[in-house]
Amino acid sequence: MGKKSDTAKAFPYILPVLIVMILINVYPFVRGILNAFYADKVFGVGRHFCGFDNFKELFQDHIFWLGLKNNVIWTLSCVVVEVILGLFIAMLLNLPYIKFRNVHRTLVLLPWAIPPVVSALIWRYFFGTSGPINIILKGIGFSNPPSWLINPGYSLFACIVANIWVGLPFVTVMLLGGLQSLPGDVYEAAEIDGAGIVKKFFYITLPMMKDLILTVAVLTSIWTFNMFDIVFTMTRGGPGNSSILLSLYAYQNAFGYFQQGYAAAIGIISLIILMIPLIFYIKGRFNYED
Amino acid sequence: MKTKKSVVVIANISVVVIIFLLLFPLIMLILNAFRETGDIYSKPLGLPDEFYIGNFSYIFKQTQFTRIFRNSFIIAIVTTLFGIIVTSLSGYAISRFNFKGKNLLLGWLLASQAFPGILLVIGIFTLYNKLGLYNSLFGLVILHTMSTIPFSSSLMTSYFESIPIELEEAALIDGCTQFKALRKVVFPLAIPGIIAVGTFTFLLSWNEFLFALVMMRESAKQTLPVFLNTSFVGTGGAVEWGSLSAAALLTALPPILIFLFAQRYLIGGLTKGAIK
Repeated sequence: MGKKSDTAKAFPYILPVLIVMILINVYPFVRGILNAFYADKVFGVGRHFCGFDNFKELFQDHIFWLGLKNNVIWTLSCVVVEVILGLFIAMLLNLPYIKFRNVHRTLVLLPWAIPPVVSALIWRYFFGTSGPINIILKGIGFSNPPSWLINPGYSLFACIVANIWVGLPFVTVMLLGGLQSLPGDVYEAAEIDGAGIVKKFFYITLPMMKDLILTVAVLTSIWTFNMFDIVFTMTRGGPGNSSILLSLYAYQNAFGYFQQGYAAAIGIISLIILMIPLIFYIKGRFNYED
Repeated sequence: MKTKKSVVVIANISVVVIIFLLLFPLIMLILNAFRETGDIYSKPLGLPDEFYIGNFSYIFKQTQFTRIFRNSFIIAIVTTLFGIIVTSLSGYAISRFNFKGKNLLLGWLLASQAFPGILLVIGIFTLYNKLGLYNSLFGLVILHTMSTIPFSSSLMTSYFESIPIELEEAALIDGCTQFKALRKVVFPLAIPGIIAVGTFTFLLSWNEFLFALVMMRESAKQTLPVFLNTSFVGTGGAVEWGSLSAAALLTALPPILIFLFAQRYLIGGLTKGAIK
């Protein structure tokens, strides 16, 4: 099959995807980026080209910096906890003498399937001032537990816990899949040589799982960084912007204050930060295919 | 090497405990759906005293729940059909042909998974207003179809790659057209992949929040996640947890059932679509 005829043959098959992607993905993406260089209508002044003014303003905006800081805390803590906890649960499930492993795997992944908004609502209830978490805390001796969602010092933490619950199932099941494909004979050989659990973990499991762990971590950090549903549902970014993320701040600007250019600038900054994990991910995926 | 019996027992019990803890929020949701709001507020961790179904009759009779549920259902089903058709065609082309611009397409599809939703939303909002797709169920279907393409196309590609090309070559020699060979020979073998893509797409569309929030002006056209976010706040800002839990439970039920039905295909598919 020659290259030219291949293109002609493939064209009708990829046409639907091309139409949808160009119209609803490529075009709005370019449009969104161009928007960042326009100032929107305020106080009677019409929409006009403004160069880098949106960015200059953004760098002076303390809510932007707060959102950026929150985004870093949010992404790092979610991903680190999800990967460590996910690896632990996956290794436990992968022990040869665990009964009903497939049932457990299904149940672990189950929270992944439910709408993040529903998960966030459940956790909003859990973190309520007189909700289940505080009832338990009082029961074990904390006489004065905080109002998680009302106290600015704890709101982001509560959202992080909820998001870990949402993200953990996928990470765990991906890592379990990786563990199941590791060759058993390496472990048997190590056991004959007298290696214990700790040695086997650091000298066999971790090195052989390194690539998968990295891919899962990179993918999860991209998703977590852009996550919108959880914080919007739990706190709307509050109280007093204490749990604001860049995605929420951009949304508020675009659809609350009708400053789409400013919102687009926030989106571009997010995208630039995400280029680092994205390049890792794309490189990894293309290597897998070779 | 024989593992000690006590270790076996402890490990198995730990697994059950961990899974109970992971599912505990979901269990609370189910319990709260069958309690009155006052009861939930006074005993946050309590069990239902009686099997109270007032929350369900409330959401069906006093709110737009039924209508919103129908919106979500129509959008998710149509998106699933579109998603399956569009990505099995593209997956087939990517797995079988070396066309011009293939790497560009693959690279864009991978990269688009990192695009901040808000950046797209801004551009789409303007476009949809022009095309008359703003505030329309069909507009949201197209948006959700776009969202499923990167993952689902990659999943279908790897499924088609696992189907030996010799099978369709035989069909082609027998005089089939390429499309007929795809339909009659390759497609039936790719059913597990199609189920995985269908499940993933249904869940994505049913659960999606940001696009649905921005693109629907009328409350009668909302989808369930948006409805849950904006309703059930009573007088003085207190949340009506009873009816909200009932609505949230019914919102979570279709994806849970579909997931349980298709999980065998889905778990393999997730690895194919996201990692390999």
